[in-house]
Amino acid sequence: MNGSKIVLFTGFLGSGKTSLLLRCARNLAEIKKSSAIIVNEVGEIGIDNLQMKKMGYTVWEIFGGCICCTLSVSLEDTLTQLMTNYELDYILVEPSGAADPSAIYPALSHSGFSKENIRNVMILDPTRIEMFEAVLEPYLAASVPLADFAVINKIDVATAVEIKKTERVIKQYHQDLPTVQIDVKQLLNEQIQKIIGG
Amino acid sequence: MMKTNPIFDERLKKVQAVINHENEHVLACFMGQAVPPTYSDITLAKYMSDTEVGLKYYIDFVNRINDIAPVDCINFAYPGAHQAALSLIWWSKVKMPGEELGENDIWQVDEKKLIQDGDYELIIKEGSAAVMNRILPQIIDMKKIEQFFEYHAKDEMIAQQYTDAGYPVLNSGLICPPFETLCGGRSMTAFFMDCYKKPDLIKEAQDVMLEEQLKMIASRPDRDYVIGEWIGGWRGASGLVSPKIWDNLVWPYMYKLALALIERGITPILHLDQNWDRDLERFLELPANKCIINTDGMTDLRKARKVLDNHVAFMGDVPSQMLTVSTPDEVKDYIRRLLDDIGAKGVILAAGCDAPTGSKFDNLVAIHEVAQEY
Ligand SMILES: Nc1nc2c(ncn2[C@@H]2O[C@H](COP(=O)(O)OP(=O)(O)OP(=O)(O)O)[C@@H](O)[C@H]2O)c(=O)[nH]1
Ligand SMILES: [Mg+2]
Repeated sequence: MNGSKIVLFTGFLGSGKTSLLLRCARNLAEIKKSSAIIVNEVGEIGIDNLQMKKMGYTVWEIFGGCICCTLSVSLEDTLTQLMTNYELDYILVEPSGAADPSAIYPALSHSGFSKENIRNVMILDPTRIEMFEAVLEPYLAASVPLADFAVINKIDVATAVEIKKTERVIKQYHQDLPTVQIDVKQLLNEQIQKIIGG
Repeated sequence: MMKTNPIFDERLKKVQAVINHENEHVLACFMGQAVPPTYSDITLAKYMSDTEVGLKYYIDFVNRINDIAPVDCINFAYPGAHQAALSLIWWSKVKMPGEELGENDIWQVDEKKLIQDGDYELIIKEGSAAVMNRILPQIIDMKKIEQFFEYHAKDEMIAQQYTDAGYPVLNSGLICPPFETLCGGRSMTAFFMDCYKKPDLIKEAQDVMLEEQLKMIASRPDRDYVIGEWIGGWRGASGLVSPKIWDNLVWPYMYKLALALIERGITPILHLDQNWDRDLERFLELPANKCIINTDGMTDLRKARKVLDNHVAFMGDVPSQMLTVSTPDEVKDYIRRLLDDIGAKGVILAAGCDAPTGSKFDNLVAIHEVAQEY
């Protein structure tokens, strides 16, 4: 079977998934790990395909068709193609930030990835934590428990109160979830190692 | 008046029976507006842009399934002038195959913050047209909006073609709750922040929009071929938004729109994407035997059956992913397990949400084949 590890970058729209994914991808390239990136096409920061190609990456964009299906149906197809044609250490996946990520697990397991080979890194944007709690509570309740690791980002702009609140929210839904606090622009290699896992 | 035929009449009776929970057998409904080109000698771009040709390919494709196992009804007709329809209900740019996208790439919503600060107030003061008319030219060639109205002026003639082919079409219109329209036009991130910061303002704007919709529904001319109309819910899913938002900004609007359709003798088909488990009880507020809920595999239909019993009909819910990657046996197995648990009363089998372009032909057929067992 395949020895690839999937790292999911989950979190609500605009939380910082792409920014962190790109930093991790760069780091993996530096340490000569082979990886591929699968992103959901929509997003404030697009992925610069050309730049990624120079780094040795191919970026697969997955498209959803129906206006309302935020879940991309082609994830599994893409994974199958990747695994047939490449030897990969990591597959970095950014699912849509508009829907509960639980829906992508069946696709992952159907393509042969067991829970041990999947790492769900959930990014929580502390500057919007109050809105998340008030408006998107079911989203938090569904997605935080699925995470294997939490990242509180934007600490360069968030207040101490917001960061505290975010920690509390994470605890509320997932008692022992390991967490780091980052400013994505000042990310250290050790932090990246922790985020991606062993 | 429509000219009917025995096959159509019989199927229409079955559809009415299923809505009333008087059906003996399950129904199998075709859903997959974008699939025909995958299995035909036409690009998706041509299929979408040339409505006459597209419609023909669509019906041919349904016939191909029907030749193997009966297609009792169709969820949505051929998506003629689809880009305009989507732009009108969702106030978002839709990239199209053969235009911004490759010839066979499925259309894609490109959501931007087009509703500006002050626009909720503008809607309240002047009505939604004041905002929509500013947004539309930014997202679509206005000629296409004209073409949309020209296309739909021929609806009765088009409906006749489905009738002649023997297929009742369940949905003949799109009704978008104001919550979804505003979410699309404002972009999801900004809209949810607005829901947090100024829910009362949003509510006031939504009330104006709802009033406009209710008037429109009440004053439309009768169309005898119409069975039902789509009322969409995706950003407003119970699995996504908090009870306070749902109770206040989502449900009351879906509910009133549904009642307005029923008033006109039209069956509301509530298209529920993602998970609606938390609020299933609320669907009991709708009159019995008048509505269909169309779920996508994320809402638990076993729970829905317990909570709603025979109050609303169910349409769904083969997960769209299954159609692309599973085998026909897996699809059948999924359906058998579902029907063994919830029974066939008031159940219409269909692809959850929509069948993706990459759906395997045999998987689509499997839905109609397994239906014959129940
Ligand atoms: N100040 C600050 N800004 C950040 C940080 N991480 C991300 N951002 C900004 O947050 C915004 C959203 O970042 P993205 O990486 O596009 O977020 P995303 O989750 O991929 O967004 P979608 O794909 O739209 O769901 C961008 O403007 C980023 O520059 C951070 O650690 N600090
Ligand atoms: Mg992104």
